[in-house]
Amino acid sequence: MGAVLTFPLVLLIVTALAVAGYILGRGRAARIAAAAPRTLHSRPNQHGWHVVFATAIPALIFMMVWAFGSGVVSNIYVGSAIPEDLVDVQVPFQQREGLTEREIEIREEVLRTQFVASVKGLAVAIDGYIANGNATEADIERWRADLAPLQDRLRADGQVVGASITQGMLTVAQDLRAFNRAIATIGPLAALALALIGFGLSLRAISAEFRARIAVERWVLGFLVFASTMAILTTIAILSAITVPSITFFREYGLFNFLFGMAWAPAGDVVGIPEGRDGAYESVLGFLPLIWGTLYISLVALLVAVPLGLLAAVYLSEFASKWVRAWVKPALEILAGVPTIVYGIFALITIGPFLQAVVGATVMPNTVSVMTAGVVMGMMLVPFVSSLSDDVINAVPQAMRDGSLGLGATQAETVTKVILPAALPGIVGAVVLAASRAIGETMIVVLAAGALSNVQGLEPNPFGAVVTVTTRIVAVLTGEGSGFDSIDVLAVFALAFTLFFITLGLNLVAQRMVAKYREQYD
Amino acid sequence: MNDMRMTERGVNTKDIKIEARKVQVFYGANHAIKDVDVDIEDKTVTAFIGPSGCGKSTFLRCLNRMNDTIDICRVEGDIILDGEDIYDKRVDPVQLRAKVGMVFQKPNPFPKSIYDNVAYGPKIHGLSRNKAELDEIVESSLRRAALWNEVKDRLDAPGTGLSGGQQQRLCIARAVATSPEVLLMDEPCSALDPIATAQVEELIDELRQSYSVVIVTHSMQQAARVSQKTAFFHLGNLVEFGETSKIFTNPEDPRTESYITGRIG
Ligand SMILES: Nc1ncnc2c1ncn2[C@@H]1O[C@H](COP(=O)(O)OP(=O)(O)OP(=O)(O)O)[C@@H](O)[C@H]1O
Ligand SMILES: [Mg+2]
Repeated sequence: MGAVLTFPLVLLIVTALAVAGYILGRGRAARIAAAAPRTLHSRPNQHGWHVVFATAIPALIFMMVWAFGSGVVSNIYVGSAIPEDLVDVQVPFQQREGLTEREIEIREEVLRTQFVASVKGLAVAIDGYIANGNATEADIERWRADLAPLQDRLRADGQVVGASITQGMLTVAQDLRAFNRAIATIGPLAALALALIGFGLSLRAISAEFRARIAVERWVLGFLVFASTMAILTTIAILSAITVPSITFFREYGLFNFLFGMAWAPAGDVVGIPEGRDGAYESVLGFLPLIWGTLYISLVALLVAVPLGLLAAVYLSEFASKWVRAWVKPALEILAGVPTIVYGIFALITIGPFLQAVVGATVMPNTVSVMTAGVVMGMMLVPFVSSLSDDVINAVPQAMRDGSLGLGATQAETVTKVILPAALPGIVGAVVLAASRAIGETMIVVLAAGALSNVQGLEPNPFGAVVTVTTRIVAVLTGEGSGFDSIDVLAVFALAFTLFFITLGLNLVAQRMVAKYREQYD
Repeated sequence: MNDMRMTERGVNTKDIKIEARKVQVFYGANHAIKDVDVDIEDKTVTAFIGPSGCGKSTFLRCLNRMNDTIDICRVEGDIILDGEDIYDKRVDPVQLRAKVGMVFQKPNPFPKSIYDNVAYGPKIHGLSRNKAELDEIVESSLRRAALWNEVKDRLDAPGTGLSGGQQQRLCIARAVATSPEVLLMDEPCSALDPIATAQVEELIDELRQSYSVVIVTHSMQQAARVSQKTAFFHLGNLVEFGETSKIFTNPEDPRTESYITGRIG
C-alpha cells in the first residue's frame, strides 16, 4: 500500500496553486491600485509573480532535496539498523584463527557493505513484488518462517534477488521498508504544507507598500543559485559514490601497493596466480601498467589529433573559401558525432591488420596495439580539436588580422605570428580537453588496445598490446568470473576514483588556460 | 621620375603618388563610394574630411587594398600608385601594403609586448640586421609617435594593457617602423589629449619631408593645421578637392561651406 499523496500529485497541486496565486495576487494588487492610483510600489503582475514564486519555489526545492536526501538517509538508516551481533556480519569463528584484530575488522566491514547491498536489493524486490499485486504485507510476514519459497516466489516474479535470503536480512529489509514508507508519506505532505503556507503568506502580504518587484528578483536569484548548486551537488554525489568503496579498497589493499604496483591480475579472471596471504585475496592490483597503457595510447592519439586538428582549423578559418568552409565544417562535425564503437570496429578490422601488414608480425604480434587504438582515437579527436580551435581562432578579432596585413605581412605570417599566439591559450585548453577525452575513452580501447587479464610491467613497444584503466574497469564489472563484491570490484572503484582526479585536474588546467585567453581582449 | 606628367600639369610642383579614377565601392548592394577621382601627391599631407558614414575610411582602405579582407566589399575603377594599377592581378597586396602603411580608426595593438608590436613590421620585412638595429628602430619609432617617454621602462609589458590614447600612438609607431612610402592615418588623434595631438601632428609634418600622408580627421582645425590638400566627402561623393587654404577660406561647393562652418553634421 503506497502513500496516497505522492510527489507527482503534489507537483500538480502546486502548479494549480501557483496559477491561481498569480491570478489572485494580480487581481488584489490591481484593486489596490484602482482604489489609490500611483501608490503601489510594484506593478500588479509583479505581485502576481511574487505569489507564484512564494508558492512554488520552496515546495519544489523541498521536493528535490527530499527526493535526493531520502536515498542518503535510508542508507544511513540501514547501517544503523543492523544489530551488532547479527551473524551475517560476523566473521565465522573457525575463520578467525590466525587473523589479526585489524584484519577481522576489515573483513567485518566488507561483510557489512555486502549485507547492506543485499538488504537494499531485497527491500526493492519485496516492494516490487507487492506492487505487482502478488502479495500483501501480511503474506510476507507469514512466509517468514520458511525463506526458501519466498526467495523462489520473488525470483519467479522477475525480481532480482542476489544472495540467498536470511532471517537477519529479511528483518532489516522490513525495517528499511517501513522507514522508506514513512519518508514517502511525510515528504509530499510537508511539500504541500510549504506550498500552502507560501501561498497564504504571500497573498496576505500584498499591499501598496509591499516591494514585490524586489522580492521577485530575490526569488529568481535564489533559484539560480540553487540550480547551480545542483550541478555541483551532482559532482559531489558521483564522487562520494566512488569515494567510499575506493577508500575501503585503499585501506584493505594498501594505497602504495595500488598506486605503484607493477602488475595487474585480478584473481577473478586469472587462473594460476599464487594465492595471497590466506586465500582471501590473491588478486594483484597495481595501477601503473594500466595508467601506462592509458597515457601511452592518449599520447599517440594526441600526436595524431593535435597537428591534424589544428591545421584543419587554421585552414578552415583563415584560408578556406566560404564555399569550402560551408561544406567541410559540417562534415567534420558529423565525424565528431560518429559513435566511438564505430571507430573501435574500424580500428579492429581495418587499421590493426593494416599496421600489422606494414610493420610485420614480429614487431606486432597482435592486431590490437597501442598504435591501433591511438591512431584511431586520434582520428576521433581531430574534429574535436579542430572545432574547438576553430572557435578560438575565430574569436581573435578581425582587427588583429587587419593590423598585421596592413603592415604588409602575408597571410601565413599573420597566422603564425599574430593569430596563433593570440589564440594559443585557447588552443592549449582545447588540447587538454582532448587529452582528458582520450584518457576517459573506453570503446575504442576495449576493442583495439588489447584485453590481457594478466599484465606484468609496462609495455614499451608501441605495436604491443596494452591494457588501459577503462578497459579493466569494463572487464571486471562485466564480470569475467569475478563476483560483484570481491576486492577486484573495489579496485575498480579505486580506478574510477583515480581516473576522475586525473581528468578533473586536466579540465581545471584547461579551464584556466581558456580563462586566461579570454582576458586578453577585455 | 614622373617628369612627363609634371610638365603636362604645369601648376603642380610635386609628383602624383596615387591617382584614383572613377572609384566605386560597394558593400553588397550598398554603394558606399561613388565615382571618386583624387590625386594624392608625394611629400604632401592630404586630409579627408566629411560627416560620419560618408565613406572616408572606406576610400582610405581602398588605397592599400585593405578592403580585400571584407568579403562583401567590391571595388571598381582605377587606383594608380607610381604608375601601376594596384588592383591589377599582378600586384601583390602584401608588397603594396608594405609600401602603403595604415593606422586604423580603432587602435588594434597585437596581444604582444610593446616592443614586439613595434618590431613586428621591421622583423617581417627584414629591415634590421641585428638586435641593436632593431632596438634603434623601435626606439625612434616610439619617439616619433610621442610614446617613448611613457613606455621606455616597460617595453616588455603587453601592448593591450596601454590606455586608449597610448594604444593609438603605439599603432602609429608600429606603422612608422616599417617606413612606408605612403602612410594612411584614419583619425589618428581621436583619443589623444592636446599635447599628444600636437606631437602627432609634428610627426605628420616631419613625415611629409619624405613621404606622402593621408589623414582622416573630424577636426577642421587639425585638417587646416597639418594638410596641404583637403578632400571633402559627402554621402559617398567627393564633393570638393583642392588646396587646404582654398577649401577652408573660399570653398566652391555650398555643401563644403555648410560642413566646415558646422551646418552639415
Ligand atoms: N565592413 C562594412 N560592411 C558593410 N558596410 C560597411 C562596412 N564598412 C563601412 N560600411 C558602410 O559604408 C559607409 C561608409 O562607411 P565608412 O566607414 O567609410 O564611413 P566614415 O566616413 O569612415 O565614417 P566615420 O567618420 O564615422 O568613421 C557606411 O554607410 C557604412 O555603413
Ligand atoms: Mg571612419
